[in-house]
Amino acid sequence: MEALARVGEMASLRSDEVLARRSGLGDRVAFAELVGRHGASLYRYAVRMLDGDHHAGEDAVQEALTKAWIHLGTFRGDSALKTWLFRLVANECLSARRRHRPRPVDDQTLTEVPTNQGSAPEEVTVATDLRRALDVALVELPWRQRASWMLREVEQLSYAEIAEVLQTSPAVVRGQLHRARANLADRMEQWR
Amino acid sequence: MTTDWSSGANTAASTPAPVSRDAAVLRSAAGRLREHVDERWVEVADLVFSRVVTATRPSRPLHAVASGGPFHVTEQVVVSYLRASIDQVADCEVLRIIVQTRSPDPDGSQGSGAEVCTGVLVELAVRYGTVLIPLADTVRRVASERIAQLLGSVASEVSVAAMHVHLADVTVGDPKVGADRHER
Repeated sequence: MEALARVGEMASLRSDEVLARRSGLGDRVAFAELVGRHGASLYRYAVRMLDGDHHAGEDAVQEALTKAWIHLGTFRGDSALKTWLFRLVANECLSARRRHRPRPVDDQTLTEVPTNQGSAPEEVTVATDLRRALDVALVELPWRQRASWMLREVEQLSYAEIAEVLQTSPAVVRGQLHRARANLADRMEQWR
Repeated sequence: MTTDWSSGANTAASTPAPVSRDAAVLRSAAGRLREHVDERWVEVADLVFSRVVTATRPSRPLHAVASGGPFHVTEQVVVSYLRASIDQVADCEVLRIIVQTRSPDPDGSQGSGAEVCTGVLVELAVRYGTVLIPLADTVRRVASERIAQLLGSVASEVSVAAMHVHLADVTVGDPKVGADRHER
């Protein structure tokens, strides 16, 4: 047990780059450390991108981590590991949304319709707190705006990293973020 | 009484401009979400991990022989065990392991299609100042012993001469932790 604990302690000191390399060589302790380090963030992102569906979020993260485990042996570190993991999760979320196709959404249409139709602050406050109010507001955002805002403001990725995750350009990310901030500010108006 | 969104505390501070208040509310909400760990993830993280690592990586079967007869070991298993063994050697870190193989003999004497291991290339990062030749010898010996355990009598074909140890990188600190690279 002591030896195992030492192995775990050692893993926690290692950089993502080293853990990724060791995972690629079949080191499960290293991969466990990576999952411990990034799993909660990946799950948080997946659940918000899948409209709060925790089971769908769990499936998306599991699928993404499975692909990571299988392909880490060929991961060359061209991007940061965190960025790569978010890209895998984003792809799984997109696939899940395509499978379910809840309703056709047009970014522009939603952007132009300010929503004050959500719960009143009192109701939200009673049921939850500011974070939950944000969750409610996020669900109302178009997918790309939501993804850009989550990755920038919550996960603190750079514009270039977000562009890589969402497979678009930093300029598009900048535009989506601008609209997301405006829409969220509108939806969170009662919390000023 | 207003709410200080940057700290989450209630204060009687003067009212800032509307735009910055919007930004402050969102910044505060984002911060709270960032600090939040979903309970469901805490519940399922171990289960997700255990499911994930059961996934099999595509890997070539290698010919091996035990006392009871021939069998196959996947290349991934060989790499995994080699990495774990060499990990016990101080002042070095495995960067890459390449298993070299040849096709089985056409007469079928070496199993049903599994490749025959002929050598192993181990790329290492070493701590700056480490005496390289003894380290390389140690790694070669450890790898050779592990190959023999994994592949049985077939391992005799994986001669020590074919066990390459390539020192690919030098680090200032402990290479097992991932210190800054010194030079290549």
